[in-house]
Amino acid sequence: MKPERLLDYIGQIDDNIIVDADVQLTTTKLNRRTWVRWASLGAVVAACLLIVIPLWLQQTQPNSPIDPFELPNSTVNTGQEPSGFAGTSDHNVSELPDSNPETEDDPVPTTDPSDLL
Amino acid sequence: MDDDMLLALYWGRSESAIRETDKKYGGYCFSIAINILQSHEDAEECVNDTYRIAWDTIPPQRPANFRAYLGKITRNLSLNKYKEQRRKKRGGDNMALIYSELEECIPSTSNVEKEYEASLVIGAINSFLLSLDSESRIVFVRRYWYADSIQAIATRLQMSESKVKSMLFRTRNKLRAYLQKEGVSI
Repeated sequence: MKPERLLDYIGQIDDNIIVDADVQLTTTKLNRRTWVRWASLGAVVAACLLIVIPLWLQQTQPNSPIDPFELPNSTVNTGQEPSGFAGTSDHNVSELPDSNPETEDDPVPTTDPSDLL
Repeated sequence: MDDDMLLALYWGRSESAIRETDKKYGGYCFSIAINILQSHEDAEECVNDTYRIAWDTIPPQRPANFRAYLGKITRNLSLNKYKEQRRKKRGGDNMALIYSELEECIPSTSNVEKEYEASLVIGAINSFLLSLDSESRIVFVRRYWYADSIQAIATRLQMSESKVKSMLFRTRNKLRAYLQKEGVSI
């Protein structure tokens, strides 16, 4: 019996409390959710702009730093046959062409120590 | 159509009053009735009875809050129907019969006494509800006035069912303590 009576009394509470429970909080809650949703969206857009704007500026401004790996290859036209490092296929040091006039058999010049005194 | 225009239709005894009321508050009243009765047919019957009572009572009444006025009628009708159904179901129960027979022996308090007691308790419940934070109050009213299920409250307020249950548990305990402090016995 007691719970039934309590339920009857609750049925007679103030009209504004009844209507508020049907309208007010749900909209407040929804507004709060909407605010959170918009704030999240704003944060994502801001993050995107932080990435996109510097890239865009880099492409549009002439004095912007240039990635050295992106530099174009320079070409020099000398009007001559292409030249460059010419390697050899020798397997032994003695096979290398040697234009040194001295040989290992040449006498090594020495100085007498007494001449230094 | 706003409530003032609706009430003007009742006061002018316009037949469109009930049709317009149904358009605006039909869903609201039906949701209260179906929560209590869990039967589409019974709920519709209660909503129709609500319109009939509104038609019979306005005028002379001019409710300040028409939404709450209709809701209260629907809730009372639905609870009465629920009690009646439960009594019928227990008809074959011997103990239920014995209880109802003995109830007749208990001296009933006078209507004036009952009304005074009711006004005290309702006043205390109102004060208590207004002392709660907005979210706790709405959860409590959705459960015990609108008879919403725990799941429906959780969905409506975008919170977990366990949170709704714990809020209700805390609020019930607070209400008990509040009523004891105010010297209210039910």
